[in-house]
Amino acid sequence: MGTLDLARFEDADGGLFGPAEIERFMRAEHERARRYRFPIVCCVVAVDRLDQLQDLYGVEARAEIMKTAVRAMRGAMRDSDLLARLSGDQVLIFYAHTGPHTGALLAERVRTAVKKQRFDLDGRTIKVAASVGVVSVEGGSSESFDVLVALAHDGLRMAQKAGGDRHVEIGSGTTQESLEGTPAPLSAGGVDADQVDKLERRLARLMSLLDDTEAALRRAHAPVAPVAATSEAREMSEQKRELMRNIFEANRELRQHRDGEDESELTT
Amino acid sequence: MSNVQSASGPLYLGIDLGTSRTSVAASNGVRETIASYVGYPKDAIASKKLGKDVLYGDEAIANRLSLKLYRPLAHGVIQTDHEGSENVRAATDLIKEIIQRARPIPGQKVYAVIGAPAQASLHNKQAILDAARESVNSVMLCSEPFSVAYGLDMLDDVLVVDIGAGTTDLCRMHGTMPEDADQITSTFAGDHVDAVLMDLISKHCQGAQFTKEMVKTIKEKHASVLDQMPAALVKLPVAGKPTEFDITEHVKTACRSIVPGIVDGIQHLVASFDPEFQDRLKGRVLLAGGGSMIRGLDHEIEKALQERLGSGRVVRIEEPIYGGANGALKLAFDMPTEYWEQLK
Repeated sequence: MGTLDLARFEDADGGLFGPAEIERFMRAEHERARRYRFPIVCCVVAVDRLDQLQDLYGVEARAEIMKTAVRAMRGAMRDSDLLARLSGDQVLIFYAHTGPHTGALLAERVRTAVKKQRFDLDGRTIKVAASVGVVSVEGGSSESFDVLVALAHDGLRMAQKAGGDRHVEIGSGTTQESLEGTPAPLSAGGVDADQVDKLERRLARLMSLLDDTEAALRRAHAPVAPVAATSEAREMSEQKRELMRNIFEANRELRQHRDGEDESELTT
Repeated sequence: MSNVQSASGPLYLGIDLGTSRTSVAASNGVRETIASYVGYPKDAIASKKLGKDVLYGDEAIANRLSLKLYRPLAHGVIQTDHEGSENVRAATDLIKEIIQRARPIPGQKVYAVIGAPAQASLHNKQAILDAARESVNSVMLCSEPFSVAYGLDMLDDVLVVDIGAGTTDLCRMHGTMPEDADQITSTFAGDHVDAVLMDLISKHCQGAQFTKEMVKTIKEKHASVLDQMPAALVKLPVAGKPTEFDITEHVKTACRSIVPGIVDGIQHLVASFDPEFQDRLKGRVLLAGGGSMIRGLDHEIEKALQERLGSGRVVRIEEPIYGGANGALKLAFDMPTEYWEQLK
């Protein structure tokens, strides 16, 4: 059965099969891929900063976040894909008959699905993000199942270390990274790098536009503020304007001081 | 950069220039963080092997044997005393790199707010401005703890404790720009924990060989001040053989070593505040920065405040790594365009 500890698999939130059974399915699918030479992709997913969220909102909030996140991941997967929860609140997803490019897209779907969730905790609405380690292997690869899982874990760690909310792809000797939904530049397959670059920029602009639209919609649907709150907001905005002016003045003085120093050096 | 035509609206950046990590949050949605290390190949052979003229962050640390490695912001400010010009060059390159990682569109105007340590000297602030000017159209500095508070919209009666690697900045906010009397900077920060932990390991782990980087990694993995913390079992080489050591108590002791200094600072800022608002201030202490990720630190400080000041409530911000950069971005966004234009 290999070296992967069975105990690492935990209950997959009401799934039909037990953890041991899911692991057996994954291993069998992996063996089939090796024998019949079809590509596979393996992802390890974790919700970012879960420990900090637990510190802030408690253990129940952590359980609720994980439950909802797993449900969102399932919603972003195909029926033929396999999902298992690992200990440490990580999730293992196994995609059979899937090449590296599709694997990266599927990982992004999972990451985005988690990011769309909203949680009401202690009267505050919070968003969470997820990091994904992705490893893809070509058909007939000799890598064992345990090595794949370990590599996906490495990818996850790299994604988390880089700030989270992204996937890091490990496979065929290269590491590719994508953040905030922007696909990593495609280095293989003869795709024009300039074209990819242009698409990346367009995507970044579209995402920024989407954020603005989302904010505008939120503002449009916000309940009308009572008079007291409105005047408080006006006061706040006055306060901010004053702060902006102070910061600007401080920076201008800093610059003038520097220019003065430069001039005196020049005179000397 | 001032002569280029803008391709679209300006790109606003919030940058947290830290001793250990430098983070950027950009208005195009990009968020990046890199270790604040810059390395230059030592010689032609190293240059050929690495294929690059400058390496940053983890890549620089991984190849440090082939590099002249700089940590330009050691102790929280640009180091200008030893190897001064080299450090300034490294800081300039680091800022340039973090801006590039924010992916500005060629020709796009870049406006950046950079968080500087609360009590950075005039000379140092100017050094940061000079380093940044090469890469952006307009740049402003603000104090790091202030940017954290601004990002959370908590500008009244809040005490921000920003625990970095080189310094811990404490700043009380009372609705106006903090003045010198509102801010304290101390060196009871991440590097202090590393130094204490190194000392304890060398005293108690017979024959163990380790480097500062190894100790930093151990700390980042196990840091806790909880009475019941998970065991910190580490493998360190002894005469070349990996040997396991239980350093749970040493990690706890090292992490706790910064608590008294921080609590002293909080007490000083509370005691010198308007007496009518002191209760409110000590009930709104915000922990930020990478150091705030030490498990249980909020409760430990809260406990000490209750003993010394009768009460106190400490809350850790949700995103310790990006708290400063997020606040600086918000500030950049809110800043009127004419101010940016005047500072070009």
